[in-house]
Amino acid sequence: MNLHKEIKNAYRAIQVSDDMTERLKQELYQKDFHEEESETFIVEEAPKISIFRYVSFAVACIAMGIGIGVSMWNMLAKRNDNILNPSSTVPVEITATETTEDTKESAESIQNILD
Amino acid sequence: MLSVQEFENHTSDIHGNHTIHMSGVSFAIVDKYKDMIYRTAFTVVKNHEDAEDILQEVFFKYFRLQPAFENQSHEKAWFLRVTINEGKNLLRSFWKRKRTDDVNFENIVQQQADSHDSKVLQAVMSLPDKYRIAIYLYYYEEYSIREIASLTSQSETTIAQHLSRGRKKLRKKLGGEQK
Repeated sequence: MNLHKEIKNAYRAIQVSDDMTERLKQELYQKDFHEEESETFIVEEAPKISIFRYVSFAVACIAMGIGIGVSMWNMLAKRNDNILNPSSTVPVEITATETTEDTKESAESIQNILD
Repeated sequence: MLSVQEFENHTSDIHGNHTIHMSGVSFAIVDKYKDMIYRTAFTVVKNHEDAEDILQEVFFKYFRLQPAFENQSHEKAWFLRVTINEGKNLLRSFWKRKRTDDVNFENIVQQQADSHDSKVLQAVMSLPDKYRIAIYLYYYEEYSIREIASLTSQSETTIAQHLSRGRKKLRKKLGGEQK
């Protein structure tokens, strides 16, 4: 038997029982559709989007907004700092201008003058 | 109050047929589409209780909206589309999804069919949602790829891909006997 026939046979077994049909008809019989008719204007065929999706989208947007805001704030603060205190970011390099020998020589020359 | 069955018998005595009109409700359409809706709903949600809820909801929607159809195929397509959407809405709920995952399909399916049919049905039901719906509409309802694409609001390429992958998985599950 091919797949087509097998699937057909397998699905044929799924049927609405008499009890269920009776229940359904009873429900439909008891329901007053005319009352609800005035409330419905649009044929709703598209699946509804769950509230969870809306909430997660909103949370993601807020998180992104905070992230962008903080990074922009930091960038501006750094820029202002550079403009107002330019030295603060310039690395200070201390170079030795005098060697120990030079110091010794100058000390000797001072001593000579004093003598 | 008369039960529906009593009312049906009563009405058929008067009118000579089983078409019932109560408060504008025609039960002929219920008898015509109930099995198709139930099968489709069961394919989507894999659960008899939820399938029954969807069956009820689809008919509520039909009688509330009283949509006008161009022809029989349009009518059938409307019922299928609404059923699939109702099923998808139900599956979107986290708790429902968890409950459906917990269901033991073997028991459910074995109640419905004999051993071989049960095995095939179980194999179909074990496929992911998208493959399962495509397989059902293609093989059971005998819709073309183009019609399935229009029913499920997806592209024809996507449906063809779902069918091909679904078939491959199904053959694997059924032991590669089918062609």
